[in-house]
This record gives sequence, structure tokens and C-alpha cells, in this order.
Amino acid sequence: MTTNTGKLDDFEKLFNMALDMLCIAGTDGYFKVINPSFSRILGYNNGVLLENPFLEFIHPDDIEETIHEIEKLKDGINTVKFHNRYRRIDGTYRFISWSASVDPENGLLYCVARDVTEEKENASHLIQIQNVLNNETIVAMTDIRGTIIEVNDKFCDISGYRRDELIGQNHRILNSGNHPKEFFVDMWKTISSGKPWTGMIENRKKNGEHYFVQSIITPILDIQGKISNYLAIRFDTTKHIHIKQELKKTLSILNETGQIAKVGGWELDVKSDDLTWTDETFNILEVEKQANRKPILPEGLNLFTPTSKSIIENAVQRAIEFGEPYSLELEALTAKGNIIWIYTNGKANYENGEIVTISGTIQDINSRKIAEKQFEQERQKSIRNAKLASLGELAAGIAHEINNPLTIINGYAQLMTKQLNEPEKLNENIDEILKSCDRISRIVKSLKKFSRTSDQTNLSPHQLGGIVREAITLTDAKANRNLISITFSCNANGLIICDEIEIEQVIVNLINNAIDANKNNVEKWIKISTYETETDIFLIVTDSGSGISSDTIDRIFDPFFTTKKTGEGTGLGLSITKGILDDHNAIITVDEDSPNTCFKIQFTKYAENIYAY
Amino acid sequence: MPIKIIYLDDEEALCKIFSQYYGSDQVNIKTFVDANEAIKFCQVNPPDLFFIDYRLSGITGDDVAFAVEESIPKILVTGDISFTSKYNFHQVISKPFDFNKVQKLINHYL
Repeated sequence: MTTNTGKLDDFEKLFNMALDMLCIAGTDGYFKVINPSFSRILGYNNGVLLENPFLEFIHPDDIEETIHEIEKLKDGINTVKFHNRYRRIDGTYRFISWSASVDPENGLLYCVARDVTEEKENASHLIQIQNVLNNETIVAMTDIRGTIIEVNDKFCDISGYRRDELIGQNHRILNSGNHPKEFFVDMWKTISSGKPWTGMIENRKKNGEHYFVQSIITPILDIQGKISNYLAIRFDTTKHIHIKQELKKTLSILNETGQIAKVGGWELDVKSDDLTWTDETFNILEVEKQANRKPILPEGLNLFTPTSKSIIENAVQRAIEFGEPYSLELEALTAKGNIIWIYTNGKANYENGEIVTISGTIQDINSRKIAEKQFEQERQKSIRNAKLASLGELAAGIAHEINNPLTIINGYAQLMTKQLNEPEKLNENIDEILKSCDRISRIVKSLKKFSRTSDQTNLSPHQLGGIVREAITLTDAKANRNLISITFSCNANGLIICDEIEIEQVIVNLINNAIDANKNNVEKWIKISTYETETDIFLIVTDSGSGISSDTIDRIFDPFFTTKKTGEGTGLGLSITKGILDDHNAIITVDEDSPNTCFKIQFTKYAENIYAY
Repeated sequence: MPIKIIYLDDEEALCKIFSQYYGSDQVNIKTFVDANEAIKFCQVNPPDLFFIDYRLSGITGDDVAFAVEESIPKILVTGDISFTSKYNFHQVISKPFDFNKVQKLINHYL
């Protein structure tokens, strides 16, 4: 021992004050001398440590190795950083690192030990982290030029290269070619400045397939703080990307489908008021689609005309509050200021019993609506035309119908001037005059319907029989001229709710059609009859024709369908007939079982007692 | 010898009034509401004057005119406003007609 002071006290001080554990132990298994660090670290007093064999403090798993190490010492082999665990007084274990040598003369062991528990734990954490990275991620280490110097198994697995094919290669070997040059320039700029870079990289396997990896590339610094390597940690996200691509594809298919079908989709996030629209919704509402900007509910509601807005507002509100679904035909006011008819529906979507979104579709029905309106106008016009036409028919018929009774009145009046002295004859003649007057006033009555100018329907209860008779009055002249007899058998007294004029128009249409169809037949007649059941009243119009061929039956009620020659008919007759009957909730059918042409109309009987109180 | 006149009209009241008005010692009136009966009657007893209504049930005045002897003078009576006849009638009278004027016409054949 050497000291500058030459005092032995100095060594004793060193022994006592050292933070490391210093001791002399015997090969008999007992400590001989221990410094205070022992009791400080392990918590026992010196007596306990000296009076018990030291193996008793050692972790059972470490005893064997410790004995083996002591044997080596006895053979003169020094112990360097031998680790074992000592039990503290509180039962926990501390990792102790031993360095020791033996004095061959007395066999005593001279030991320096240190508590390395914390270092050991740290190292263990590091190892664990390293293990996780190695086992769970794709790891590669490159030098500063990007030459691969280390890869883990996962790297080999995903890339399809063997380790020896990768090491020494530049990382570019995996370049998919799908990233622009700037992408890598940016990456290198980041990592070469000492900062980690993260991003999604598309790489290419040895077999040419592509894979996607979420990557963290971090520079590794040497002790001087200079970049020595780059470490890349990656996760395979190919599946995720594929799902995303599939989703994108699905979405684009949806958008395309929507465009073709002219159906837009939309979803309202109830909490945020955010609206998600498909492309077609943008199209229909003529809103310009902006990236990263979603419309919100108030904007969506402003795309309706004031009248429609209050309707849709209420519907959406009720959907949000009560989950009520809706489907509406409304007028939209597009972003470009056009007013178009749209159909839209919506329903509430629940999550955990709560309404989270409202979603639905939107459809441009403008052309349909316009067509409907035009058809309605056509119908009104055609009804007017039909009225005018029958007025023409009537005028001709009326002349005849009125002229006959007029002749009678005239005749009797002139006769009576001769018969003034024969009172019994006068009475008889006055009767004839009155009868003729009745005839004329009946005809005049049938004219009254032509005086109505409004197109408004006027629903009230009527007996079908009366309407049929009026229709026959109007068409009789034409039928007579074509030598067609019209017979009517009335077997229904119940009432129907209808617009008398419209229903009369229907019957006139059917009779006129029957006359046109039969006028050149040898046998020609039209039979009209009514009958009733408990709930319905039926009108049957049969003519001497031989029926309607089954392939035309389906089309006869279509507008502009006609079997007449060009110029003979517009073809609107039966479609108008059906339109009017639809409005009356009446059903017109062709009786295919009849050997003749037979139309059957079913009206709902008016239950008078409903209105009795 | 009274002249024989036939009046054909499916309006029964008119037939009646025609007989009452014009029937006299000098004028013998026979009326028909059925065209075929009138035609048959004519074949056996050709009248001196034949009044035919145009619009009859199932047949027209034209048809009747063609069906009877051409030499019989025929007068068409019609309530229609506008119509064209294919038969060359002696005269066409529109309903309602002035009974006095027709009387003059009949007198013309006396």
C-alpha cells in the first residue's frame, strides 16, 4: 500500500467512506471485514452480515453460479464484474456486481462490489424495447449514404430479399418508383439535419409487388454528435392502404352510380351540423365542390325556395328530434339560382340508442314534374277540346232534337187557332205542347255544363244513371247518324261522389269511341248498364265490337296510343278517361271475358250515412 | 177525288198533328212512324205526295226515297241544320215549318 501521507488512517478512511462495497471474505463462506456500504445498501446491521454465511443472502437462483465463481477464484482466476442478487432486509433483491481477487497465502477473497440494480433495470428496458422493435417492426440501419448495414428478419420477410442480398446495398433497391424525386429530397433534408422523418413510403419487393410502410427514419449520432447512421423503423400498412383504396374505389363507384342514376346521397352529422354530400348531390344543387370544405346544415337549407325551406326544415327537425323519416317533393333553389323540383328523403341513424346522423337521397325530378304539369295542362286542354267537340256534336243533334218538339208546338199552336171552338181538343193539344216544352228544356239543361268556365273539379254526390242519360243525350245524335242504337239499363240507385261533368265526359268518350269503332260494322249497338254491390257501383259499357286484342289492352290507357288512322284521333281519349277516373279513385278495366268490347268502371259507393249527422 | 198524301216521321205527335191540320175532304192523309211499313204501303198505294222525315230510326229519308217509285213526288222534312241529300227531292222543308206555307205547297198539288 502506498500513500502520500504514509498514514494507515487514510486507508481506513477510504475503506469506511467508499460508496462502493468493500469486503474481505473467507473461503469458509463468511465475510471477515465489510465496509459501511454493505449495511447501507442491504439494510442489515454489520453483525447480521458477519455472523451469517454470505450465501444465505444470495438469491437462490444465483447460489450455484456464485459457488462456481468462488471456486474459480480459489484457482487463482480473478472475478471481474460477476453479477448476483442479494436480498435486502425488506425482502427485495439488489443486483450486485463483483470484482475480486484471492490472496493465495491466506486464501482470503478481497472484493469490490457495486449496486448495479438501476443500470441493470435500464439495460433490461432497453433490451425489451429493442426486442419489441425487432420483433414487431421492420428495422434497418444504414450508413450516412443510405447503404444498408443491418436489417431485421421482418425486413427480410416483407421485402422478400435475403439479409446478404440487402447488406451493402443502397436502400434505393426498394424504391417503388411511385414517389416523386422531391419526396426523397425532403426526407433526406430532414434526417440529414438531425431530425427524425415520418411518412408513408411505397416500396417494392424483390418479386416486384409493392408494399406500404409507415416509416420513422431517425439519425443516430455518435458521441461527438455527428450523424453516424440512420435507423429506419417501419410498419407494414399495405392492408390498411388497400382497404383505404378499396373504400376510395367503392366511394367512386357510388359516386358514379349516383351520377348515372341521378341520385345524390347526403348525411347530416347531428352534433356538428356538418353535411356530407356525394358528387351528384353537388351536381343537382349546382354547388361547386371544394376540397376540404363541407357544407353545413344552414347552407343546405338555404338551397330551397322559401316555401320548401320551411317544409324541409320542419322535416329535418322532426327527424333529429323524433327519428321520423320523411320523403318530400320540393322546389330547390340551386347555388346558381335555378329553381328545380327535387325529391328528397331522410331517415335517422342511431348509435347506442342516440340519433347521430340523418341520411338520405336527393333526386332531380324537375323534368318529370314539368312533364306532369304539361300532361295535366294537356289533359285540361283535351277535356276542353272534347267538350267543344261534343258541343259541336250537340249543336247538330240539338237542332234536330229541338226542331222536332218546336215543330210540334208550332203545329199545335197553328192548329189551335183553327180549333178555338173545340175546347176538348184544345186541352189535348196543350198537353202535347207542354210535353214538347219539357223535351226542349231537358236538352237545354244538358247544355248547362258547357257554360262552366273553371277547370276546378266540383265534387258532389250524384246518381250514376242520371249522368249516363245526359251522356247519351249528347251522343245520341251521332249514334243515330251512324245508325247505332244505344240502350241503357240502370240497376244502381246508390250515389257516387264525383265531378258530374268529368264523369259525363268519361262516358261520352267511351260512347264516342264505341261509335267510331262500330260505325262500319254490320251489327252495331252500344249497351250501357249499371249495377251496385254493397260498397261499389259499376258501370259497364259494351259495344258490338269484337273486343280489344290482349297486346293492346296494356297500352290503351297510355297517352297518345291509338289504333285509329292518322287524323282520326289524337289518342288522348282513354288516357284522359283513365286520368279522370284515377282522380275519382275509380278503376277502369277491360273485361277480357266478354266476347264483345267491354269496359268496366268501378266507383266507390258514397256512404250517405257518414254525412248524415 | 181527294189527293193521297203520306207523311212519314218517327215523331208520332207530328204524324197526329199533320193529319189533324191537313186532313180534309180534298186531302186524304196517311201517316207512318215505321219507314218499312210506309214503303210497303207505297208499293201498293202510290200517293200523290210523299213527305219523308230524314232522320228515322234505323234508316234515312234518302233510303226511303230510293226505295219507292221514282214518279211519286217526294218532299223531305228535316230538323237537321246542315245536311246533304243524295236524292233529288222535289222540295226540302226545314223543321220547324210554317203549317200555312206547307198548306200552300199541298194546295199546289191539288
